[in-house]
Amino acid sequence: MRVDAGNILNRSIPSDLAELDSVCSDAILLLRRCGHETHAFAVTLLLREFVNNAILHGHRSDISKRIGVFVRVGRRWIVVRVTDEGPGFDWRKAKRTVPDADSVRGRGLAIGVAYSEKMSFNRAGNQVTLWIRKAV
Amino acid sequence: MADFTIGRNGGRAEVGLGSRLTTVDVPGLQAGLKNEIASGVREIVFDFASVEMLDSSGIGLLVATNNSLAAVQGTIRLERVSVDLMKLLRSMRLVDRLHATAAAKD
Repeated sequence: MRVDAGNILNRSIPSDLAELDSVCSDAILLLRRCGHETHAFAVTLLLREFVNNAILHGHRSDISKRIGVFVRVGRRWIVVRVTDEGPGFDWRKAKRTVPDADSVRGRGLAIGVAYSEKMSFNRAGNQVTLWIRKAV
Repeated sequence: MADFTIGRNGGRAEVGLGSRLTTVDVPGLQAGLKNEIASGVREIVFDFASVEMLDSSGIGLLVATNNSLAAVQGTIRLERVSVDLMKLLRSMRLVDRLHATAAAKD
């Protein structure tokens, strides 16, 4: 499902890693259209991290479930939101700090912190919203 | 389809990467790297010249490879890393650990 406005990308995609390239390409087109392609790396990195999390952890790779992907380029902020149909996780207890250098896991939330001004979750923990401050 | 190549020169392997090293790319490359280390490779050089995207799964693979090599007194190097990816590795405090060097400026 595609629901787009001039400064908004709104997608409902299957829970499939193969969908990631397409949604990231659309996000880059949106940023280009709005004159903010300089944020393409940050936005697509965050989309990859959190759509991956939704597929692998939220849905346990159940391809019948869907993921909501929303990107809005506002006046001061770029907002990225990813919503899944899973039960969520206890984000209150999750580490957001950079793990030890020899740790092979646990960098997803640290990347969220590093590449956004603010990262928040809904109560259930199946929706993440990230705010990226636009370059002046 | 795998978007990488592995070339061998004695105890050194050179890995050419495509435009990304992300979740979907990790399993195939991981198997190849394990085989190389098991067969005696002690230095692995990753050519990042074409890589535009690296996610936490790709970082995990690089760290795991570094850990495996360190256990046998081996080493890993990332060469020709883009500005965006150097910034990402710096934010994860991995530039020194993974011996990452930036792409030359034009």
